[in-house]
Amino acid sequence: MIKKEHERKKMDLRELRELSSGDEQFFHDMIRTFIRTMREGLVLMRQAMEQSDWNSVADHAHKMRGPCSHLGMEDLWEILNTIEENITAFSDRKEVPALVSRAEMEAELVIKLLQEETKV
Amino acid sequence: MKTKPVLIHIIEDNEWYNKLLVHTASLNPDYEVKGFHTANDFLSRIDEAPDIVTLDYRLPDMTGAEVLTRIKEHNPNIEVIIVSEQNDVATALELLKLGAYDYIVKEKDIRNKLLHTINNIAKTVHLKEQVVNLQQEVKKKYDFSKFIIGESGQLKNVQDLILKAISSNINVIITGETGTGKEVVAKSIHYNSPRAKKSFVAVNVAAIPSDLIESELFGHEKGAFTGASARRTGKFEEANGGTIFLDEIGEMDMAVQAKLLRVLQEREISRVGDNARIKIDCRVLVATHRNLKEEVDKGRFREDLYYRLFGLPIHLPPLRERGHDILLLAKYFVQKFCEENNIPEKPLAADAEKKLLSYAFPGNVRELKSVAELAVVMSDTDDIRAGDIKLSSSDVLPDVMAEEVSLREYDIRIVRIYLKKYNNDVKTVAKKLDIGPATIYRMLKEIPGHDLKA
Repeated sequence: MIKKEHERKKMDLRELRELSSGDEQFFHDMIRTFIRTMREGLVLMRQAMEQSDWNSVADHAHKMRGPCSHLGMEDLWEILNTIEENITAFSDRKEVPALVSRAEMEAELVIKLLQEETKV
Repeated sequence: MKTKPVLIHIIEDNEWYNKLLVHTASLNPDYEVKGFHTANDFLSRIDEAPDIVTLDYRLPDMTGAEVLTRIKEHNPNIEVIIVSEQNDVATALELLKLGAYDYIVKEKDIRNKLLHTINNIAKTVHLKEQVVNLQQEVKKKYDFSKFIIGESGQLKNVQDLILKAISSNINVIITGETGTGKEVVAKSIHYNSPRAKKSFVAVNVAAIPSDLIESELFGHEKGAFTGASARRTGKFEEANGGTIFLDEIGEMDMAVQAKLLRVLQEREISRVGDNARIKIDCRVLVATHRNLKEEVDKGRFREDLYYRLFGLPIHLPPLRERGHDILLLAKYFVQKFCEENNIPEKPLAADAEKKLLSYAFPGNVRELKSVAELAVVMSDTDDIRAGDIKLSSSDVLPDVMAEEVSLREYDIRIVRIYLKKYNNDVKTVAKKLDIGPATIYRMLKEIPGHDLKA
């Protein structure tokens, strides 16, 4: 069931805690890896969009989307999923630039929240 | 025996998932896990022979289907788990057809699903490993150079023939008295041959009632006869790819002989109650204590089957004809029994050796084994003495030279011993002693109370 925007969570780290099996070092490493790869991915996605390389835009969105689902980042997941679907399923590229900008803002927001909560 | 760790290779280009999957699989200390970010990275290390590969379906340098195909071409035993972002049924089906073990979606319960699948494969890997170890142990056990013990000329001849049987696929017919080790020789041939990894199935034809032998050998369908409540696989099917050993073939019913002949000619069987033909590829080794040619002459064994089975004949000499092999075997059985029962090894005293050599061993090697083991149990000293050796007194050969008698009396005593040895078979005794049968009959008249029928 698709959640409405106000029902969606920004972030929920319970699943990652469970996946870490009590290994704090692994937990923090996964947070750091998420932050770094998300920032790298957003840069690459924007570059691809500027070159009108839409398949790459979809690929980057796809790649970044996965970890969001395990970190309870429902808003960010939804935006990245819409970017991928608009390109691959609907060939609707008009809204993609705005969606990419939204993804960048949302990502910076959750990264800030992550850093505050986990002190990484 | 400690089993080697299960080697797992994770192929995942997404760094976050790569770390997650490596961490998840590494939770079990019995797993050795390595992560790869591209298909080419992994393929350059495929010779490390992983047991399990988890494969991301979307890789930057190759599709999941391509990598899967390359893995299976390299080694079909590597199990591949596809890990995908989407639950795409068509793709999953295609990959399973290509040989993937399972298809897991990167969802919330990915950890449990992945561990569950890996644990299932690991169980199979361990079982396969155990099978290989057991096969090696069996092969070692039946290494005929260590297993067929003896130095007599007759046994050397047997060893040469076993080597010939191992190096070819020829039919083998093993003859010899009870207890001479016919099944041991058959196992030795099988476990040293290229068929060693497949089954060795032994059937004692004499021990199966004649009305059951056909279903025992060829199997039966449910309802084929009263009491056939379920389908049953026959011994020939069990031995497919391996070896079937038909012991006491001379006791086989004539009707079953005809069916066996057809199986050997056509290399296929039909289960009782079913017309379907099943292709069979198994080597047939047979054994008998009878003279099969004589059985053919007497009309008790089919001549066509005799010639179909007739291949390399291996005759196992009775123990009493193997001279000092008796001592070699006795020492071997004593040593083995002591080892198995944590008893310090006991040598055979001179009087014990003499006693063993004076006995005819009608039960052959099987009897010697029991005698040797019992002697270890009976012995209260550091060695095994004559008193510890319990023999059936009626078969103890008298010491011919024990007292001074005339040459004629010595001759008579020798003939008497040989007659006992060969069940009063005058023809054989005459041949063994290189004298005419008439000489033996003449001597018999001089042996008071000797009755050839006894």
